[in-house]
This record gives sequence, C-alpha cells and structure tokens, in this order.
Amino acid sequence: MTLEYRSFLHEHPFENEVISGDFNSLQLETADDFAAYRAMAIADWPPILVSFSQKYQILDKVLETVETHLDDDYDVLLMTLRVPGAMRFPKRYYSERVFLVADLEMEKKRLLEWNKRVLVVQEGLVLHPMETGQNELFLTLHNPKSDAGSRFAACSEGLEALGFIPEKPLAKAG
Amino acid sequence: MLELSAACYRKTEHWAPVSQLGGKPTAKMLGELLMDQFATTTEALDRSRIKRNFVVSTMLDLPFTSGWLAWSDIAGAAADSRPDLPGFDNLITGYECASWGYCLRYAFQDMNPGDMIAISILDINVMNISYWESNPNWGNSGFGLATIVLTLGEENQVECHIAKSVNAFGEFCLDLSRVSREQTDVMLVPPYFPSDIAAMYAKIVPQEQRTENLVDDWGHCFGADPWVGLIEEVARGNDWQNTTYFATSVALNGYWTYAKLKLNPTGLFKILPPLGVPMMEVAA
Repeated sequence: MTLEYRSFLHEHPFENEVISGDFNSLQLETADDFAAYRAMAIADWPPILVSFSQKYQILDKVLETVETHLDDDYDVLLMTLRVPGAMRFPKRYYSERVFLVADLEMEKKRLLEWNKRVLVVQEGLVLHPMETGQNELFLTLHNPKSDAGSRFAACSEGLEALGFIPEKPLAKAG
Repeated sequence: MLELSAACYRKTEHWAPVSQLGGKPTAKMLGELLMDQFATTTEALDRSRIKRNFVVSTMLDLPFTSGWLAWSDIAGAAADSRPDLPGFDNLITGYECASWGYCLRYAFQDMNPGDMIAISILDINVMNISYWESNPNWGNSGFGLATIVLTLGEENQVECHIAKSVNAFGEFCLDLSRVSREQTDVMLVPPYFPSDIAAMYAKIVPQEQRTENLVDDWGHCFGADPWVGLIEEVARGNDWQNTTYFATSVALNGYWTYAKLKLNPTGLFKILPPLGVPMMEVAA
C-alpha cells in the first residue's frame, strides 16, 4: 500500500522579499566549457520561482512539515537534494533517517524488499536552465501504518500552506 | 573495528572526446570502468559478503541534475559488462567529498559484523570543465577513481558532522584536533590540500598523528584523498600493519566524516596504471 501526494509550486513563495543574487555560476573559459554547457542546457524549462537560498529555506519547511505529521510513519526518507556545491543544506537533512540518492527508484525498491517503511520525496524545484524538473514536490509513503492516512492528509495540507498546490504543472515558459 | 579489506586508485585524464559523443556513450564507459575496477579490487574477496555497493562523487552532480547522464544507464552498463558480479546500488553526490561517510552511516543500519560494503569514489572530469581543474578552496584537483571495500567489525566508529559556522574548514580542523587528543594512538589521514590551507590542521594536530600531505603528488582528490593516503602508507612501507587509522574527508559546504579502521594485513592496496585521455573514433 502507498499514500501519495503530488503537487507543484506555481508562485514565488517569497514574492515580496529582497534577495541577494546567490547563484555563483561556473565560469566559462574554454571551448570544452562551452561544449559542456551546450550539452547540458535544457531547451524549455518551467518558471524559476526560488533562488538557491530560498530553495533550501522552503525544503527545510517541507521537512519540518513532514516531521510534524509523519515522524512515526517512516524508517527512511529518501530524497534527491539537487545542486550540492551551492551552499550547505539545512540541518534537518543531516538526520540519520534521511538519505540523499541520485536514483530514488532503485533505493526504494531495495528498502521495500527489506519491508522498510519508506517516505520518498521527489523535488524538482528548478534553479537554472541546466536542471530537469517541473517545480514539483511528490511524496510517496510506502508500507504505511493502517491509520497513517489522516496524518498523511494533514501533512499534505501543511505542504499546501507552503505553496505546493496539488495540480497539474504550469505550461512551460517560452 | 572497521577493516579496510582492499583499496585501489587510478588517476584519470579528462574524457572530453567521450563526452562529445553524448551522455549515453559516456554512461556506458563510466559503468564499464567502475565495474572493471570493482572486479580488480574484489578479486581476492568473498564477494557474497558485499551487502552494499555505492558510487559517490563530488564533481559529477550537474551532468545528472541536467539529465545529461542517468544513473540507471551507468548501473546498467556496469551490470551488462560483468553480470556475474554484484551490481552497483546507487550514486550519492549530496554530501560532496564526505559522501562516503554518509553512505557508511546509512548502510550500517542494516549490516552485521562480517558484512562488507564497497564504495567507488568517482571524480573524473568527464567534460573537461575548467572550473574543476583547480580552485582557491582546494588547489589543484586530482581526478580519478578509488574503489574501497570495508568489512564491519563488532563496533564500528564512523562519524558524520555538519558545520555550525561559515568557517567550515576551521571547524573540521578543530575537530581533527579533538580526535587526536581523545585517541592518542590513532593516525589521522587528512585530505590533501595546498600547504597554505593544510596549515590550519598541521598546526594543531601533532605531526606524528597524521599522515603526510601528499598534495604535490596527487592534488586534491576529493573524497578519495584518505584512501589514496592509506594505499600510500602501504606503498611507502610505513608501519601500517600495527597502526589504527582515521580516514577523514571534508566537503566545501561544511560536512565532514571519519572512519576508524585497520588495514587487512593480506589485503590488496594498489595504485593502478593511470588512464590517459580516451581517443575516440568519430564516424565519418
């Protein structure tokens, strides 16, 4: 059995805040640099709604919401926290129950073979035009307790209050 | 205590001629290289005891985040090249140079004494991006692939830390000093940094309690530094059979990790021949 929450961010969550431009772009100097960036650039991408530091702020709130409602409902939280190197991730991601992997599906499959209760958090908050994602936040709780449904619903409401709206993605920009 | 059962490292040049063929051919070659080195490193070991098999990287994040590389392609190519060997579980980049320690912390929750864990530390400048060549934060980079296998003992000391301040490297050095004072019989294996940067720990950790900073020979090899350092202990004929080590790595954004270990007296600890720039044939 699984419980699933699928949502998308479609407005700036910190709309009226003045922010620093904290994207330290890698410098392009050589022909190979330009070739690499050309290869990795994505042709069409959804609106960019958060800066690097804002992304970590909102992901911290996501984990806070998860801890508030689902703390007793999972053994392992799997997540892809993308773009390391930009800044330190929030302390909550340091928890021993949280593990950051490139391929959620492969690790989830193994943990389910071991009958673990697994919460998979897929985030696709896009920061720049070399990232895949649709500003999505998907939560899937595998092997939940029989009474976890109400807590999962409360968690979903908490995420919605952060601006993650359960709906289809916005049309792509451009 | 943890045992380092085997460790191999090889230097690599960049793979620009490969990457120009695209992500899929690059993934295939990466998978085959990972598996080839895993096979060499584990040849004398009982592979049925290897319960987890991770790949970690500091610098290969953007190719995955952009979708240019897919981990499933790499794992698939590795499995295809040697279906008789244990496959790779996953790629972990989120903790940068400290990723190997976070893998150990995570995996140990489901492992028992006698079980083994393999970790491949993959930092090849696949696309020859100049940013990675050198940087004021770590000096000249050393690119390559380390493959290590650790066996769990009854009590295994692995620590994962996160900085509290903006001076993450300073906090790491102070913590190295703490360990050296708490466990005076251990030899720390600090990561390789230019002497100006390494001066921070060199000043507060006694010289007899740390391995040599071989940055001029190897550059900063990201998460592979302590494993190169341990292979060098064997290669240089130091008293490694009678020494307890603390392998250490620190990430630029303030994560650091330790593993306390001894080396298997009969283990394979080897520097493999370096890989040059691969020459690719381009179809007419």
